[in-house]
Amino acid sequence: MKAVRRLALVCFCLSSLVLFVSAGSAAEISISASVDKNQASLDDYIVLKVTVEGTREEPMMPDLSAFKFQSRGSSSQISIINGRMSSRLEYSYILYPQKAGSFTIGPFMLDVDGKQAQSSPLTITITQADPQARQSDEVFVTASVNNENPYLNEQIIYTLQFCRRVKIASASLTEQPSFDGFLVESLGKEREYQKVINGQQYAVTEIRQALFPIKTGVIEIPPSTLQAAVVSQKRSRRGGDPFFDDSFFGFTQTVPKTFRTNPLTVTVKPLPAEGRPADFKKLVGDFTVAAQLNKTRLQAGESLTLTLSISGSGNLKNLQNIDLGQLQNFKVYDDKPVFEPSLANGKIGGKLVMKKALVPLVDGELTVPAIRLPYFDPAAGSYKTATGPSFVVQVSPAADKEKIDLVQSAAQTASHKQAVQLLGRDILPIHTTHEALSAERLFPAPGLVLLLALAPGACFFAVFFVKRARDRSSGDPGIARLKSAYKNFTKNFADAKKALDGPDDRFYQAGSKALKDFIGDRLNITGQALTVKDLDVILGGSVTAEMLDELKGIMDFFDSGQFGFRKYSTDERQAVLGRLQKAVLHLNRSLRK
Amino acid sequence: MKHILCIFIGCLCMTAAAYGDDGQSDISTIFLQANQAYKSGDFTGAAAGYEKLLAAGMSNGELLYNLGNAYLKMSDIGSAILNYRKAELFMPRDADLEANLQYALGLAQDKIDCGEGESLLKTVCFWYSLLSPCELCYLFVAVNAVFWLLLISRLFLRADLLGLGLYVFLFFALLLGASLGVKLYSAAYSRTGVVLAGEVMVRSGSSLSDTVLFKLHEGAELSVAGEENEWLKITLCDGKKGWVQKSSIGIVSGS
Repeated sequence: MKAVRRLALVCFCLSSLVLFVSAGSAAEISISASVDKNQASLDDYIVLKVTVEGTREEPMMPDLSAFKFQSRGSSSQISIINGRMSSRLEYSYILYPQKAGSFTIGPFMLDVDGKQAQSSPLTITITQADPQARQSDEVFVTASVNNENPYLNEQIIYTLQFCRRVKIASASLTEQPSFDGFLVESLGKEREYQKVINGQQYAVTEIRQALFPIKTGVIEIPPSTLQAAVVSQKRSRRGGDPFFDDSFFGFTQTVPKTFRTNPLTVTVKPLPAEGRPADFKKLVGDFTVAAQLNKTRLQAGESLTLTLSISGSGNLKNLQNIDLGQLQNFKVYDDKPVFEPSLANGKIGGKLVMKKALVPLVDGELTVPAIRLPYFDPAAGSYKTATGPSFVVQVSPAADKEKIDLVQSAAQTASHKQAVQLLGRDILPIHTTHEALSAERLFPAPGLVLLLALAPGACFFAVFFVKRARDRSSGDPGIARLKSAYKNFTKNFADAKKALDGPDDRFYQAGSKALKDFIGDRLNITGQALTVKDLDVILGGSVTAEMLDELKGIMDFFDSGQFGFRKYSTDERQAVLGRLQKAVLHLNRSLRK
Repeated sequence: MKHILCIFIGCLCMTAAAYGDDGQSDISTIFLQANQAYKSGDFTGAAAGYEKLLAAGMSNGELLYNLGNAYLKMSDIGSAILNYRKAELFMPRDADLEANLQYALGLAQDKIDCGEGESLLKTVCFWYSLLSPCELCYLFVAVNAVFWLLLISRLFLRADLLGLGLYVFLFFALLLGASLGVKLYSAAYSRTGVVLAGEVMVRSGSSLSDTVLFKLHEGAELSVAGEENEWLKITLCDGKKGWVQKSSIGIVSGS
């Protein structure tokens, strides 16, 4: 039961709060802005506070391009007086000036459900930082170069020092110079050390960079900007244990500050023309050359490795290759150079190792000449040449030349491959084949193409129709009989002719069969059953009366002979055979029509 | 009948022999002399020899390629590109020709941005540019013949593989037929050309009083869109249009 009561009480309180908040949101809204100071220098900062009442909406930020700003959070306050609730929100920002001048901030605007409010604008004047005053500060930054008048490509060191004798909560380099006109190489990580300046001990953080000027004349290095949170005492504290200086105990506070270095000017001198070697490769510094050969005796076809090491300080990284000079008796294969950077005497340099495979082209005693590397020494102000040792190589003829060449060739191609270099450009030669003496047509004769293109199609249709006709004839016995009618007649006629002088019956049977089968086949009826009277019915409209009479006469001749009414002589039989042949030919033509 | 055939064949042989004795030997001599002139550095003489052979009807890719070489050696880039392009119609896959043409095109002064559409089309329809018109014709005829033969076989056989083959060959026959049609149309109606003069003014109309729109230099390639008197209406592949005098342009193909 108690639990239920508690729950009801909590619900009531929450409902009341919601009602109050709702009532508060309906109240009038207002906004105001203030700064801790209206005048500051470039290495100072300004605290901006924006107070919003009647709403929890964040204000719209105006143009702050003259500053870098950083939010420091917000604080809220809700008060209920006589049942009326009012809320107040305070947003806090830190502005770091970026340029000198007079600037107007705001107004800050609020827009809540159509209700609008705005603050009064603020005017702030930013002055240049006083470099003299800075030196006496507890915290300052400096930038310097070790040589303000270097030669072209000569290495100079840019040093940025962050000196302080108070505690710093945090620090970051927000703006680094662009170093236009220089090639920049980092000289490693930042260095921390202690230094006494004007009798005071400072903690120093030092960042160093190697600069190589790539153009002559005056080059300006713009200032670097550093932002730091400086720890300061909030109020005087009795007792001296520095342990309690931590902000955790609330005795100190951090103050953000911006520090700028002075701009620097470097005047770059050109390299002197006098005494400049022809093979000078723009190396400026101090260098030495060492060379090493892996063997001095070898057989023809074998290769030896020449290792060149160039050490020193200066722009060595830019050196791509070394000219080996007149190595007429060797074929040279370059390997990719390896550069190992190093620091010596506070300057960047290193060691460039180049390996070259040398394949002797002739037998005998061959000389690998000394390697020369001309460079400009800025300390001496003159050109110098670093020289390596020369070597003498004894090359003996190959014992098994063919075999060695093959093996070496494979090994060399694997380890010393290099891109093919185009040495010249020209067109490929003319064609001298006698194909050039033929008259060709761009397109073949259109008639021929048409014929070749259409012929297969025509063949297909021909085959198609023939096949269809054959299919049809093989499926219809009437057509088959029609087509074979004359062929059968010829066969029967030949039988009759053979029986001309034989026994009577065979001649008349064969002759009768020839005629009746022909008519039967031609008209797809049973031929053997035909009589003279049937001829009138089946041929009446198809043949002439004379033809009909002739056919009747021939049929009557064979029937009378066959069935014994009359006997005819051989001449008469032969004459009837002639008449039969003519009549059948005539009948065939007439029926086709 | 046999006698007539013998007489006809005899006449044919005699004609061929006569032609071989006089015409062919002359042509061979000119060709050898032109080649010799080229090799000895007399490129003008070589070009004259090759031109003479072309005029005698010996039109073929090899001769046009040689002529292009001779002109290129004479630093006549426009004529070289023109003859290389003509040779390309006969032998589109010749590596020497392609290399020399690219070299000559590299020497041409004008840079005309044709976009990637044309090269994409060439890649997709690769056979179109890889085959000469003659080859395309005969390939079409062959594929077409195989298709009809398969169709004839289909009248007597009902194998599934035959049906598949029919569809495949029908597809290729249609593809090649369409390509051949396009090629014939291009040859008949689409004209391309090359600027032969050192510099030509491309004008807004077909008269010398018209505004000069832009200039083209020797070796620039163009399409001919029309013709009026002694003027050609041209289009560049980047879309620029105008009129140029006909005498300064060499026509590669088309009627």
